[in-house]
Amino acid sequence: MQNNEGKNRFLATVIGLLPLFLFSNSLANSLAFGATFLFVNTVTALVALFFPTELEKKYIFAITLFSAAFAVSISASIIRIIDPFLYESIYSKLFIISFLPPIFKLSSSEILKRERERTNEEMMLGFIYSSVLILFGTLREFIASGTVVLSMSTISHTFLPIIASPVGAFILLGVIIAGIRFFSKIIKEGNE
Amino acid sequence: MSALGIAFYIVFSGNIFIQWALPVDRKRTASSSFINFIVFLGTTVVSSVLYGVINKYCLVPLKLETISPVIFIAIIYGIKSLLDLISKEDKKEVFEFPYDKRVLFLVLVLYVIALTSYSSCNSILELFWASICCSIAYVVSNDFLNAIIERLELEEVPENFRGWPIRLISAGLMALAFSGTQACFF
Repeated sequence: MQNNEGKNRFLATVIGLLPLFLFSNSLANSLAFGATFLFVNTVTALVALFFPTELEKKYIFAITLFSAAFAVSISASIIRIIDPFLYESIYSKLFIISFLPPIFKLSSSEILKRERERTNEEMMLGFIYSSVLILFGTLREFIASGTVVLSMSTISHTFLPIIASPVGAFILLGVIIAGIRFFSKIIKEGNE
Repeated sequence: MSALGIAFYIVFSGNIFIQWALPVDRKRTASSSFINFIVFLGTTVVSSVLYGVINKYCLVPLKLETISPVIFIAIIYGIKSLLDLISKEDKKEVFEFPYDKRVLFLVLVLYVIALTSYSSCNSILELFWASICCSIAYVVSNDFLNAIIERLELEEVPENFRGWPIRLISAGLMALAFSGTQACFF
């Protein structure tokens, strides 16, 4: 039962991160999105945990939300310094991280006390979600171009270019989720 | 770009539903009633125009584009305060910001509409028009996908594909149709 709940929560978060899965079509940009998500997720969770529960809920929510937006701004500035070309190609997409449902959920985790207790756990899960995002981006680049490179300027999608487009992201993610269900069912049956 | 050009570009090439992967509104928040749609449209236009103007005349000249998410949250809070002020006579808030999950999802949609409108327009009038086109295109595409999913429920979809996988694959096929139109004209 708990396992099922965990799976549903994981799937709900993956769906909440759908825009990032769509934009991550190479190792370079998936690294940028993954690192930014991890940073924003950690900052938001820490701010939500830091404030005392006695403070009015809506103020905590507002402060946490603004912190998420500031964290995105800081992350974007760092990416701009490291790789201006990468920043120019992804900056508008990077900003939506502070508006994604998983971040909003963390910001509003003051609603219930038990949600607050989960915040710590969510912070750890942020690392797993970022890793999944980077893996998905790398897989898309590999299928689309037949190779994986770290530099954005040398990527050429010549093998199966549709996978690098939004169409490919939707279909690949749908097939992966169905595949995971299929294999987990086989494993479950094997255990029984 | 002419008004017709902006509308055509935003509906087919820059459709936020496809380009930004927002097919998660299963409850049709924006189109559940006519009043909801009008409120959604009004909020979209105000937030997009404000965001575009602040970005163009303040943030970009000062090279402060990186703080644009903070500005957008401030705009949304401003609109919410205004709506609360208008509905003060009823003594109830228009929406409870931190608690209504559907509203939280709409903030993401509003931000994406503001970004898309800003990136494809130069004047305030164009921003106004683009945000209207963008929101109508989003609502129509979302309802279109929901209709496809409802129709698919009558079919024998393999068990592993039921739910999100078939929804994502349907969205992908819709995106393919939009990409085809984009390839023909742009």
